[in-house]
Amino acid sequence: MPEAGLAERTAAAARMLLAPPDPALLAALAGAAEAPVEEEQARQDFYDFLCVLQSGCYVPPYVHVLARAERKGEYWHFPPPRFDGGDGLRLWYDAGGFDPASLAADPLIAGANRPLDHLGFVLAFLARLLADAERQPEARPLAATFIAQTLGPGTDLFADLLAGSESPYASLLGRGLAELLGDLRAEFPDPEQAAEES
Amino acid sequence: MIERRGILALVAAAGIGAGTVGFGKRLAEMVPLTSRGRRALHPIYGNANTPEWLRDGKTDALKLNPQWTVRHTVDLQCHSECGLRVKIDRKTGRVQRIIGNPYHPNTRSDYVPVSTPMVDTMRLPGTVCARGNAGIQSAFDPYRILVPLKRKGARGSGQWQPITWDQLLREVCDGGKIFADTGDTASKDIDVLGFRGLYAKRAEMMDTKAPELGHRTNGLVFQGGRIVGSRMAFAQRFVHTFGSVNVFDHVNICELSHHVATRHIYPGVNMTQPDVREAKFILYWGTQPGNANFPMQTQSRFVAEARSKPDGLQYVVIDPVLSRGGVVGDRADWVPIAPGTDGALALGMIRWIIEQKRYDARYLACPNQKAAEAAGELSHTDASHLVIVDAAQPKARTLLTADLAGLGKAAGKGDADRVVIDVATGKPAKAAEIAVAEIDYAGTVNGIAVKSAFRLLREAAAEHTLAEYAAICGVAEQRIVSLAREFTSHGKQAVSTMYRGVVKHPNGYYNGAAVLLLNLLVGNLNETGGLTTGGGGYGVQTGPYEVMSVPEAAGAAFGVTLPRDGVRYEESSEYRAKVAAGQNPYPAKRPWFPLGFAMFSETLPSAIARYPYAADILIWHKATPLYSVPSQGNPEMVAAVKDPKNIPLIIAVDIVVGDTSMYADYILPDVSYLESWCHVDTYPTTLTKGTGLRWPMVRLTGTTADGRHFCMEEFLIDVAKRIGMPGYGEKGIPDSAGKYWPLNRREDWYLKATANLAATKGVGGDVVPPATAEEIAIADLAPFQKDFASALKPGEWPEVLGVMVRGGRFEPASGAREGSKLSHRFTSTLHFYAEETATTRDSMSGAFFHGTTRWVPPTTARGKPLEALDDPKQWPFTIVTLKGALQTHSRLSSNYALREIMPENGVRMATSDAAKLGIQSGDWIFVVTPEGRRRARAVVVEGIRPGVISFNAGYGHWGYGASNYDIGGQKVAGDAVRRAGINLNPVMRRDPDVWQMSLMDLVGGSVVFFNTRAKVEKETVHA
Repeated sequence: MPEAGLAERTAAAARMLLAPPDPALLAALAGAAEAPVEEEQARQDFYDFLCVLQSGCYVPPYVHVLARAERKGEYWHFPPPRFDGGDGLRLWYDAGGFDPASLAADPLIAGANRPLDHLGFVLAFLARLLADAERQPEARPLAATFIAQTLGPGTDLFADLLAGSESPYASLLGRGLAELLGDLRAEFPDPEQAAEES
Repeated sequence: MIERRGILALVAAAGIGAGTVGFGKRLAEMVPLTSRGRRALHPIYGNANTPEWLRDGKTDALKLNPQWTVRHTVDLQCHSECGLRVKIDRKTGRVQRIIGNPYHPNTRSDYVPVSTPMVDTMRLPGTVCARGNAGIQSAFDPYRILVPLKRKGARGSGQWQPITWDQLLREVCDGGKIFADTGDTASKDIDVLGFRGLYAKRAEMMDTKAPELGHRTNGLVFQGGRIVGSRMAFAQRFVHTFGSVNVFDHVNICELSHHVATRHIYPGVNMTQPDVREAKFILYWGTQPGNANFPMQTQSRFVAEARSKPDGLQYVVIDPVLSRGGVVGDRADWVPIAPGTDGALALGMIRWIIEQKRYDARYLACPNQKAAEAAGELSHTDASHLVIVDAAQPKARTLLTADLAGLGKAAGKGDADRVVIDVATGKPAKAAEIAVAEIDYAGTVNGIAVKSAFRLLREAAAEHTLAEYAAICGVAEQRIVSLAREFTSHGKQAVSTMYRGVVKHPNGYYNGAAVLLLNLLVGNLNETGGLTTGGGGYGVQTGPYEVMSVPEAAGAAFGVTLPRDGVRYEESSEYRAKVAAGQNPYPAKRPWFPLGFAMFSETLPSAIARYPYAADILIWHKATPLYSVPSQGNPEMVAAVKDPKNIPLIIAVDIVVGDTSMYADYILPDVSYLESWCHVDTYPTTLTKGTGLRWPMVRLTGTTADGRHFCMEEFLIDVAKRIGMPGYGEKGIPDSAGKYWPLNRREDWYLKATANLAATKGVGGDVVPPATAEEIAIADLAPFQKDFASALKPGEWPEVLGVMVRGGRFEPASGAREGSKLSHRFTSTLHFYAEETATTRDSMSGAFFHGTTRWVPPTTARGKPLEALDDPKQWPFTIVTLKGALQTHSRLSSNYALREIMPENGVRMATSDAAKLGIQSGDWIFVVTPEGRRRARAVVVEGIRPGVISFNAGYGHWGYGASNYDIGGQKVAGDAVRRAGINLNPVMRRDPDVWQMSLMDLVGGSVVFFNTRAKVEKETVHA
């Protein structure tokens, strides 16, 4: 798959994680849905699954939280997000001149003191990195390192939980993410692992 | 069905994405990141943030790390109000860390003089407690409301609609059928008066037959919770200008009787504290180092420092519960007293001290300050002053004056006009004119039967034997004696101090007075290691600007307050009418509280009962009476609050949908303490003079069209301007030359108050220097100054910025002492006998209160002993509350860092009690009171008196993010973390004879937290 497509798909995923669906987005998704996705329900699902901590079906979209997810019986347990939980990404963001606050995100996500490792922020950053990688070969190792450091198994869990949900919208998002994660890792293998194997 | 791989491709193909423009030239800067692999960012500091300060390795000089802004403000995570140093990300404006402000006396014993440049304080950080550190989570709480909300549906339905600032102002000001759009049948047809309509009645009397009730504008009631200092003054300025006297904070649910008892002895003073670091022996009554007190962390640190000296402090905690600071062991002990019987123990000690003549007779014999100083004392008392005890005398119960004694005219009034028996002559004399007076006297002067104040105390203490006192308080007679002996074995370096555990009882005032009177027996005021009234704060209301002055509204607010505090029932038309009709005027319909103030608990029931009048508009400012007032969260009261006919308009000013604000008609988003302004004085514990400045570290709420952040102040300003109140708008604040300055935004007012703070006369070493360019850069104040330049005269800015940079103005630590004396000394007469109390009647019985303390068993308002109200055999436990180090108030449930340490409170009970009931820690139990039952986890401990159960305040919320609600159609689900634990306040005891009144101390005005009887049942089947 061409890298430009990967960058754009990554940006699309970021968009879906950062803001509620609008008619244009739902129209674009229509071809992938098994049944029509009703807009009001999809918006509610966006908030319930991705924004509201206490909705009962919330899946925290934060890398540091997902990394500490624990299965207890039939349920997954997530620790509370910490406002500074994603501060390790600050160096990346600063070096790239990337400001998460500049993204078009729902106020529930964009408010001050939100963790920097929201998957929407992470994927928006990565999309730009991938766009560079398309034009500049030296960006490829950077992208590979970033993917390896940031998109760990917790993000697969996140995608799987969404994909398995009863919400048509969340399910589509989860399935798309799972697909994207697989393609990203295939295209940009972990440099350390690759070095070990060689 | 499309192939899975295509889902996001479809979205991308539609041009939908979060942007894919690359980083371009900046890519090179990112390359070094690839070498980091998965290792931590720093070999030592891991992925921690960079520090605020950078050190030059060659010169050792420090400078600010340009990534950060560093500012100083004042905490409000509890009422200690410590100075804070706040680290803010310069780029994002995000608060990253909170530690102590080293200029502030609470945070270091050797706090830094204000003359020190800020850069020189970098190596001297102050300390705050866990609550202080966790405060970021209060400000950045995901449940914060940031725009105005209006209820949809009935009050308390949990349905809210975001509205604009303009709609809020239009509806609450102009009134009318403003709830027609709510769908609530109970309120859709109610014609609400609104601020404009009520203000138009400012010349009408509330009741022409009762002119003492003031104007109709008293129908505006401001019930404040945690609002203090100049923020309270801002609210008072509005309410008084509107023409209402009804503006209160929360004091009567906190510790009011403590203040009133303190005023009994130390006139005009609300609080005394020990000179902890130099004391040799301290009795902590109803509190303990490490729990809530003033200030908690400072007092705890001082105790630790003093206790670690070779000849240092010993202390004894007298409290039914042993908590964090109540250590048993080396130099510390615990007396598990029965709740509410502190007065009995103190009077037992007083009796023994007097009988054994272990009081400081030489000190007590000084009848005036001049004589005291000549004798080497630093204060004096009225021990020798004579009180008229002949009940037939018109002036009975008052202190004898010179003219009544036949001694001619006195040189002064009040305490300057007292009569004593001169030891030198054995004859009556003016107290102001002699050196040594008889302290234990009973006799006749000019035909009038009199006794000395000391004699009255001696007789009151002798009303019970030591054995009887021991039986009452549950402390062995021998222990009473040993405490009294120890207390009188350290000269003036012994202190008896208290907090709310002593006074939140029906007999709280008398308990508190007894505990404090111990200090007079050893004469410890103003002495090193003794007691202090502290240095107080600097005034901020006058100076270059008269920030409280609204000349057009002078005298507009008058009359009896809704909860009837500060005025005697006998002055009411109700009383006079009953007397004129030949009726017994007692009891009043509800109690009056002539010695009290800020009667928070009586506000709601009085308004609903329309006694003495109704409320038209109720503003709750961060007030949560249904959660925090004992018994007030009961179903009947909640239903009454929900009925709009009782109070037509309720506006909550809050940072969340709280446990009580959930029942409001509107919720106006307020600022958190990290976004607000306030000038707050320091406490006596630190011995010096100081006023902290709280100012916005961040700005988070939504904004008005002209860019002001939503908060209480901007709301009051806009309401005032909209309805045409004087004192707001272009003709706002007069300066000392009479020129008026605009009041269109809160900074117009607070900056002028800060200019007053900077300009007021100092006490030495406390002049705040102008902020330097470096300091302005560190605190990033240049944009602020630019935005608000017109609020001050240009020449005032450097010093005002200097105060902002330092987070206040503080006398240096070196100013605390003058040799062996404390520098700030209180020299008015200290009272064994409180004339004002003695001449005030109980509005329910008509009996006079006692002028000196005595053991008074707890009763209802009509005098029924509590033992008879709820039989201890049926209700074997007494509930007491606990304010621990992690949670002292209702409002920290958003602090997950604290909740991770202590997720639940549970109900503490003694091991022996638990064993009898077959209960173990962790078991589910029911706490049953005459008012209801609650389910809780048992926490079985040794450190609690058998027969007592306790719960830590601040848990068991139903609001504040604990329950579900709906905003604009979006569900917001409550968080179980905030619901966790138990709050027993709603099932605490109500007075059976007064509708919806908690048990009360009718003298001191406190609501009762510690006298509800209960039984405990083990849950046998887990639900």
